[in-house]
Amino acid sequence: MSGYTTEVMQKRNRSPTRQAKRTRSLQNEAVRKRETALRRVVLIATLLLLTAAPVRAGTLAGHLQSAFRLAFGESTRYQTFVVDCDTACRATITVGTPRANRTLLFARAGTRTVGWGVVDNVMGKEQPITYLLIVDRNLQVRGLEILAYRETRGAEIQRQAWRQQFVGKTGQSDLKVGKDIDAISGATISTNAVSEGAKRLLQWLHVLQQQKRLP
Amino acid sequence: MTSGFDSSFLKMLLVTATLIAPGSSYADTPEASPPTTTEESYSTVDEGLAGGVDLAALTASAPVQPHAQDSGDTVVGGYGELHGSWADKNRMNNGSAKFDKTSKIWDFHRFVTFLGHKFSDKIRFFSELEVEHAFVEGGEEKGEIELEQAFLDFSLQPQINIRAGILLAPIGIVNETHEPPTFNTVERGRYNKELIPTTWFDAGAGIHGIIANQLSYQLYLMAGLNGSQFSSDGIRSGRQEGFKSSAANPSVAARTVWRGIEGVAIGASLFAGGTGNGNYNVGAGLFAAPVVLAAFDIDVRKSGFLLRAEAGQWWIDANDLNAAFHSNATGVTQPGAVARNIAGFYVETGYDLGNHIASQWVAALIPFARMDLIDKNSTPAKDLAWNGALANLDLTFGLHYKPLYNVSVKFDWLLAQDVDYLARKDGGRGSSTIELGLGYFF
Repeated sequence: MSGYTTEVMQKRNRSPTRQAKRTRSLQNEAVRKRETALRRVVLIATLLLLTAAPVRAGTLAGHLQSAFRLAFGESTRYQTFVVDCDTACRATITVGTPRANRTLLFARAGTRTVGWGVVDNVMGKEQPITYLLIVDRNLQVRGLEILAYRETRGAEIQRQAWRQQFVGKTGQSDLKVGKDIDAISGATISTNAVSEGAKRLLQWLHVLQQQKRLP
Repeated sequence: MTSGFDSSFLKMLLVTATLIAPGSSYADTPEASPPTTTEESYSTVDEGLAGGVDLAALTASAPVQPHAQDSGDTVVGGYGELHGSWADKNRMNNGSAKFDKTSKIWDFHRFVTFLGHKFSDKIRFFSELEVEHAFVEGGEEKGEIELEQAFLDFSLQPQINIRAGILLAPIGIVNETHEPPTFNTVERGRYNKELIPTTWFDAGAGIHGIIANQLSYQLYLMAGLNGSQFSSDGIRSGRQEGFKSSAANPSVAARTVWRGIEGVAIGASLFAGGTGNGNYNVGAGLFAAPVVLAAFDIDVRKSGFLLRAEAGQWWIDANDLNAAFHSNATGVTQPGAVARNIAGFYVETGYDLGNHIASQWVAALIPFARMDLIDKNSTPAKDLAWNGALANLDLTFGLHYKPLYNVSVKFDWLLAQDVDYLARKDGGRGSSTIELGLGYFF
């Protein structure tokens, strides 16, 4: 372009007013950059802190209590009860390894039993998964809680949206991953193990109810 | 915006907090009062024991084990696949190239034993030992024994854990989840062979975890690929596989998968590092002759409908590698040179008829179709023209039957052809292969 214009521009750029403005704008820029960086640090720290929240150092008893309250209401209390499962009882049951006495949880609202809960283990890829199945008096599922997930993969089964699928299921339900229970890519064993476990528990509870062994 | 922490920033923090902090929504119980929490869990249950509740006494049954044996702390498992294939490799040839007309093969392609041990709640050991092709005499064609995984895992929190040892590269869907009943085709598919060199494993260390039970991630530093082994056949031969892997080019391998929508998993993977291997002709630096791989994947399983798609691209410093390994005395790039970009994708879809069959012998029955499109020279080496023989379109049609969720019987028909064939060029190759597979995992 014309040398005149360039010269004029250079002169103008050297003017004290412009230089002062440029310095201020550079300083502002630096401040803005620091602020942006600080904002990012605060955001990341907040994210990390918040995502750390779900693992609480609560008690197992507390977790069981809140699970029953969710299923049946605030006034619910649970108690344990040992089901005496004699030979005849064990012969009808194909759930895992039969034991002579099993502990059930039952929920009371006042003096009325409103439902039952069973804590069970199923095997994940290499670690047991411990969960709680809660049913009402009609042996319909009211809740499923994962009490302990020990594996490095498949932790998505702990999501409330996935566990919610079990609510309303009965012993007649398919409880089949890919059909009425959503599959989770990469968690084939966990999803199948918990679904099969729930299905067998419902069958077991049905047998117990028929034999009038439920409290 | 004058102050850095103004109201819009605080609003953003608040929104993020609401999204991430555990929420609960049990809406259907008539007597339910505002629920307290539902997202709680205990990564080690023994930490949660208190208040006189004995978890062992509560448990209704002993662990139900799909594994062969379990002493409690040591677990044995495995997976494997037996294949039969009948290939007509001359069927669609329309040129004068001479190669094998047909082949019939029975092959116990993979036999893998998984051995894991729990030293404590926090420290665990995992391993996978594989025998390929049932017989080992040295060299892949005659069979191989490979230690595919062998690492220690240190559990800190669900959100962050540490592992170190021989690791599977966290790239794509299949490299980490490669048990035969988890995919439909008999063989793993060209994308999972040429674009992502499954099974890809090497020495490394890194962190992994899951956030809000829906966003999982892995971030590893692994031994890199060896660029001197790249060629027009791609990058697959560049895997060091833990065999005295050179530590010259530690590379980043990262993956994240979002499973926030029921039935859907969306993933992204990244691999980046040098491949110079300390070779001074290429550059002895940490990042000499760098490669980058970016890959995306989606896996949908909803009401019996199945869709899986993956796409990826390699950026390769082909100029430096070819100058060192694929040039003649006068510096002319030879035809066996590696390309500057390799790109490809596949899409597979199927439907599980097993949901409509009420039989204890049918856990799944999936007719499926898959298309792989891989171009090993999407950007050819400098000085070389694009070669249609290095680009392939594979079509697979088949049926995947599972009597149990972890046992497979597969049948498929693979139509493989290179682009030269599709363009009716002389020398274009195609083949038609019938494949049968038996697979299992436990």
